[in-house]
Amino acid sequence: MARLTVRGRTAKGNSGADGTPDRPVLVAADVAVSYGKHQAVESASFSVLAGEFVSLVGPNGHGKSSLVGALAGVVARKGNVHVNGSRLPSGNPIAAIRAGLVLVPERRHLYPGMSVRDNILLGRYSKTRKRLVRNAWDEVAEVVALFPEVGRRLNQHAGTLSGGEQQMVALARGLAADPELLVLDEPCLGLSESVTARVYEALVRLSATNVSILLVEENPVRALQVSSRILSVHQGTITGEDRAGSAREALR
Amino acid sequence: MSNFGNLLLAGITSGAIYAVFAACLSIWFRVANVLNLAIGDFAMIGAIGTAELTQDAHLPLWLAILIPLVASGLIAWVFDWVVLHPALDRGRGHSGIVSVFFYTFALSFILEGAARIVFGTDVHAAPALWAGNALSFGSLHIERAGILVLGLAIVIGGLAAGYLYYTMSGKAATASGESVIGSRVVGINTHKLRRQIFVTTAVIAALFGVVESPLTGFTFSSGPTISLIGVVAAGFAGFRRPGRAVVAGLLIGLAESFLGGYLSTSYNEILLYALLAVVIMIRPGVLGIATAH
Amino acid sequence: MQPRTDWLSNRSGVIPLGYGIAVAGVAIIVLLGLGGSYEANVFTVALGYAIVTIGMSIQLGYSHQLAFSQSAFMGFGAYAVAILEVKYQVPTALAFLAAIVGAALVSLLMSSVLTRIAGLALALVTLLIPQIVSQLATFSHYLGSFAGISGVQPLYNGETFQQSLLGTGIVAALVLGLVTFIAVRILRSGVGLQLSAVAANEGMAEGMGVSLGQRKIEVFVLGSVLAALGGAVVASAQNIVTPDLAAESSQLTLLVMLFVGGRRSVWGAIVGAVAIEYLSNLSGTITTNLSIIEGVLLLLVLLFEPDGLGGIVQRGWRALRNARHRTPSGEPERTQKIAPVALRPDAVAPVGGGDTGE
Repeated sequence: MARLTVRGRTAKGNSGADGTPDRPVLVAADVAVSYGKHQAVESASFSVLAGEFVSLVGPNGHGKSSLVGALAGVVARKGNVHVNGSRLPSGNPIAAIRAGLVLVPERRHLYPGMSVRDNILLGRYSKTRKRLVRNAWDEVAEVVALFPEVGRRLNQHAGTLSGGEQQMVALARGLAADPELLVLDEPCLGLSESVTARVYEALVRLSATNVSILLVEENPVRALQVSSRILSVHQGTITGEDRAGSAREALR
Repeated sequence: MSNFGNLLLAGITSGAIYAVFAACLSIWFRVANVLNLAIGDFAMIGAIGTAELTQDAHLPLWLAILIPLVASGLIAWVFDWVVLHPALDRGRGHSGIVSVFFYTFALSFILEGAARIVFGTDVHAAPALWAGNALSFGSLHIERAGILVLGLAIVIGGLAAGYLYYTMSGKAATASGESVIGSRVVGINTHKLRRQIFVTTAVIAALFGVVESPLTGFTFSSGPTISLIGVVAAGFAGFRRPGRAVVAGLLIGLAESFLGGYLSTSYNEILLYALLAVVIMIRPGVLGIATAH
Repeated sequence: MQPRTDWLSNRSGVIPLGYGIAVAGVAIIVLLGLGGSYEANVFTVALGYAIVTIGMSIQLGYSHQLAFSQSAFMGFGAYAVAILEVKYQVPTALAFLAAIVGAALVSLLMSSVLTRIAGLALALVTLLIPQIVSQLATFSHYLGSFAGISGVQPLYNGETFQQSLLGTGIVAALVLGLVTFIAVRILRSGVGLQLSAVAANEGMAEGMGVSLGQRKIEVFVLGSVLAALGGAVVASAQNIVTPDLAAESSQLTLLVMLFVGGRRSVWGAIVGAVAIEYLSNLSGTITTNLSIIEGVLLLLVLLFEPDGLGGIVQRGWRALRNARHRTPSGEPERTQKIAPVALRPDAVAPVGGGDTGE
């Protein structure tokens, strides 16, 4: 039932001006998702610029997960999605990953019976699928270095880790694909405050590198603390967008 | 001593047969979370198809083997296209526990019925690939087909293990069975992998049927029994571990052989099934069943 | 229009009785229509199978207990009655009682171990049991080897062959009516609701206060006893029992009956048993190609009508009733919708299923 319209920034197409600060990584235009008769997302248009940390906030059940699922190609959609200028076909996750958009899904969806090493290794599957395991590890090794607490548990089954550690593995798996835009769906769902803080710390560190981040978050206060821009979805419509800086000021 | 040795050889040979079917079953279960209850019927198609094509149509042996193998692969492909893909990927029909057994169970019925029409009800065996009397080493005897069976089992087991543990595709196959959404977000085409492995294991089962049929013989209704032992052996390994399934298959073969040799030839099947049932009931955890969902 | 609360208060007693009488009544009418013919005998055998599939619909359909031992218990009931009647001249009613008590004891003993093991392991063990029983019957001289035991008494001894045949059918129909009553009564009670909860999520059900172990044992014993009773009826109708009745192939036929009919409805279980048994006794091409037909039917049901023939009938019935009882606003009334439907595991499972990951 969500109607997402963003005042001010309905970017169209990609100018192709690589390197400029305003280069859009993601341009979504009139994205709609429906399950049978139920319309989960009516028409969403927005964009994410290179290096931005954008949050999509709002209560659950208002189409946020469906929207990011549609962007990542795991949910069929209508409307146009461009990542780095190339149009993504609907329902094709592989194309999204190749274009640079990687989704860390809600509830993580790790492979619980496989080792942490394999979980992270598979994050790069789209680029290493014809290779032997031996030759695929080197490329993801540097990702593991970003998460020391994960690095110590490489041989453990992912299902045996704590929730926070699992979220770190999910992040590492997402980063293993070398994304330009990392899309995180409720990464802190069900995690304690202290663990949430650690996850957010990792996200802030990430956004300091040249990865753009699109975060789905139910809790607006948390989102404000980390993002540079917020798109808020409330009761089915988007109420607008905010530069996070001013909002942060207002909170103080 | 020679009795023991011969029972051991016989046990290993029949165990190798069980092992291969168990490995095929569990490697596909690992990807799809579905048991291929038609695996024995694919073996039957291979064996009886080759037998009929050589004996009735007088085709050269290689062609007579090739045609049933291609047919098995095609049947598997079509079944995936018409049934499994809509059912498992498009959310049509049953999912969950029903899909574990009943789609392939229906396929088994269809193949059995079709084989009865095409092949009739006689016992068939494909011609021996390595003809000649049993080989004797002192008092030990082993059928030539038995050696082929063992050799092929080792090759197939090795290839399966290599694929699963050393290739990215094998890792992706395992991941598909662990989490469909988790696999799709990293770009794994779960449907394609599932189809590829379904078709491959169907062809392997058909090939294995050709190789082992001189030892056991086949009728149109041999499939379900083979599938049953395969399922049990795979189950002893927690269903998704082909390596352990091979070991379980070998142990079942040995148990069958020794029960028949030392206790009773007419009751050996009952004793075997009872033994298997008791072991599962007493120690499900040890065998990895408890970890299967 | 006032909500019809009388449905709610009466459904635990009167409706099941109505079901039972309706089933027995329809079956008797069909039998009388068929007279003392061969078809009447086939129909009686089908009624015996229906008793088994009703038990399966509770075990497999409602409770998701993956037990595949029903054909073994069919064999148990059939052989028990056959031995008692043929070798020890025990009267039929007493032999049936002994078979039921025996099946209850054996299944109780088995269930105390079996119901502790997890889903697929239970499936494995119970898949082996039909093999064990049928092989035992094949090799045992006491049980008559391959030929089995013939001379099982009909359920009613009339003056002529036709009378016995028809009488046996009517007794079988009455037994089926009774079983239907019991089954519907259970499913419409709190226990039925608990079983649906167990099927949806064992852990959750236990958390809500369902005594899991006890329910599982009860379901296993009920399914096994009904299987034994059905087996005894089949043997009485056919006057013979052979090892095939207990074998794996017979178990597979039972599963097809259950699924084609509709695994989650008592109606469906009966319709499936009668339909498949009828098909398998037609002459000519259908019988020879039966397994293909069964396989295709099973696939069509799984893909297009998860609740089988019974589901189609039920939907039609509901549509008919809704058309009659429309509220002024035009909304169909929902008071009759029973709670277990909402707890159907398939309704809760995510579309596309099979995702085991967290």
